[in-house]
Amino acid sequence: MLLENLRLHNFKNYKSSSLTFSPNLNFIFGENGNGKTNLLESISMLCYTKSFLQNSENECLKYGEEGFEISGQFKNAADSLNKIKLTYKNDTNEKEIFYDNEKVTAKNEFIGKFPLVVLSPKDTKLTTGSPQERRRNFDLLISQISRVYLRDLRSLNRVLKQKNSLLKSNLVNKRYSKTELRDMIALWNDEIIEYGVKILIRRLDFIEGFRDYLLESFNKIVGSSYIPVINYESDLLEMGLSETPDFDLIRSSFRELLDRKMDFEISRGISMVGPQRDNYVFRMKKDGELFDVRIFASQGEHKTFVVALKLSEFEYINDNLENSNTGKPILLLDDVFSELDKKRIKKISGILTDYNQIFLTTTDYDYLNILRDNFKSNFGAYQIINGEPQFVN
Amino acid sequence: MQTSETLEKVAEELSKLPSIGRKTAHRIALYLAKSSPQDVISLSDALLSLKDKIKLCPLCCNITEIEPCAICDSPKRNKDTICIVEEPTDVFAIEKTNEFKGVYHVLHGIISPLDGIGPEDIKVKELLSRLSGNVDEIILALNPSVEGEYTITYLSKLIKPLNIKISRIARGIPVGTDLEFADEITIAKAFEGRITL
Ligand SMILES: Nc1ncnc2c1ncn2[C@@H]1O[C@H](COP(=O)(O)OP(=O)(O)OP(=O)(O)O)[C@@H](O)[C@H]1O
Ligand SMILES: [Mg+2]
Ligand SMILES: [Zn+2]
Repeated sequence: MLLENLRLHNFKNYKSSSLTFSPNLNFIFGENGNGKTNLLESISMLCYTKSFLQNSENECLKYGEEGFEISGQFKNAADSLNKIKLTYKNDTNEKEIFYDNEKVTAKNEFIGKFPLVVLSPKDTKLTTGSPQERRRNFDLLISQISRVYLRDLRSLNRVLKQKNSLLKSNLVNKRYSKTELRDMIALWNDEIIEYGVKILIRRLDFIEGFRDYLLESFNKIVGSSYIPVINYESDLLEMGLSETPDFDLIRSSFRELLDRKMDFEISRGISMVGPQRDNYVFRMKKDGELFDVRIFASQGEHKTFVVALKLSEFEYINDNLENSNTGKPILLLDDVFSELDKKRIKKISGILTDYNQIFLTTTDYDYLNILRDNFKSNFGAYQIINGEPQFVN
Repeated sequence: MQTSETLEKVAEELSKLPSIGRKTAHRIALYLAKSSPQDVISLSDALLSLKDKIKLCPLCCNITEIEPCAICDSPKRNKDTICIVEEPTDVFAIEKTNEFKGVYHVLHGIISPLDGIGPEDIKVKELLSRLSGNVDEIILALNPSVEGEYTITYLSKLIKPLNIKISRIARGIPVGTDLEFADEITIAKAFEGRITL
């Protein structure tokens, strides 16, 4: 997939801008606070329907304006062109998406049509932050290759919201007796099991396949001195289950756990069981020692892990797309070089030509010299000054 | 800009309507203020008669101007088969297919704790009182949402002991599409392929 051009109107600090892009490297530079990240954010909105920084639409609206519009033309692997337009109006707080000028009603069906991998400074949270950050990251990844997964995930989240709402409100208003409440919760639990098992199995299947990709991209960046390890942790797996997925076994231990914790959930007023509490754990083996990345890795090692992770996401998505016409994901690299030593920067610059279309931001124009060695003339450079992009020769 | 309290009040009321934002509400209020008195009176009369004339059918709970409603009253309809739907608009959608010859029961909502709606808040009691009569089959035609699934399981647990055949319409209707928006062929197919619970 390629993004051929982009138009922004009242998006963050952009007034009205039009850009045409290179199918290879797009080098975006400028001083702090001028709109480089904002530009990447607008691209993620077109591809994901949402900002990768989880900003609300209202937060993306240029100060004092009433609505924004982002539109772009994509070209897929079969050379067919699609125009995507996203509009937001703060009056109704409504976001609308148009696919070739036709309004998209089911936004779920849209995810994965324009696959995207984003690496941003915020991604340090992947190795340092809470399990939620990692779940969100991999949920988005798997959703881009499996619509069924996205649907199940949305359903599970909805069921959990309903169940939590029932638990919480009954704590306050005591509308239902304990027996009545138990019966009602049991019915929500049926749905949690139905969607939860599917999600768990899909995640295990994903991890199984993803490991090799991670290993490979580590190898490309730092050689074989590090070996990354990724594992899935879940209460459900601790109940004597192996990571080999077995629907019936997981289903029955899931039910057992839900039954066992029900009174606890009722007294606490919140759900305590399910894949919404699981964790992905990152470890690295270096000099024969296996250590937890979150706790022991250095600043640069964190960054290296995240860069390798994102590059392997690219390959994984590319190999697992539902529709082969889609073509390779687009890669957004926000400030990718900061915190890395010269050797690693050289290494990464060297392998970037293996990817598809790239949008790379930096405050440092000099990096272009390193990249030019690899990309030759296959790039476009843009300077962003105060929300005004300028094509640079 | 100078505003009027009356205009504000009308705009405020209008903005409570579905998919009408603050700005649109203002535009409509202003438009009404400039319209002829006859137009405004006929609009307000129409609105009032909504509340005056429209009632719920004592049997199926569908909206109606006569009691019981035309469907419940029709000798051509098979009273042994009841199709359960969420909203009156669903009855309308199914009637368009001309496939279903039984009668309906409109729940007026769906179980959803997030919206503060429990089983007591929808027409479940009214349904159960109908089931003491001669009912052979219940068809659950609820939307395939998380709440729809829940309501289906909830109702089938209630109905099961009564020895009535229960089925749900097939899931031919794409997830995320409301019954109201599905086309006639899809709905008809969903009825044909219904699944016994
Ligand atoms: N809704 C908005 N309307 C107008 N301007 C905004 C809005 N949101 C953010 N900005 C402005 O955008 C600027 C930040 O842009 P951005 O994050 O893209 O900078 P950057 O070029 O990536 O900088 P850095 O090099 O520091 O990462 C800030 O100055 C901020 O005030
Ligand atoms: Mg930035
Ligand atoms: Zn009736």
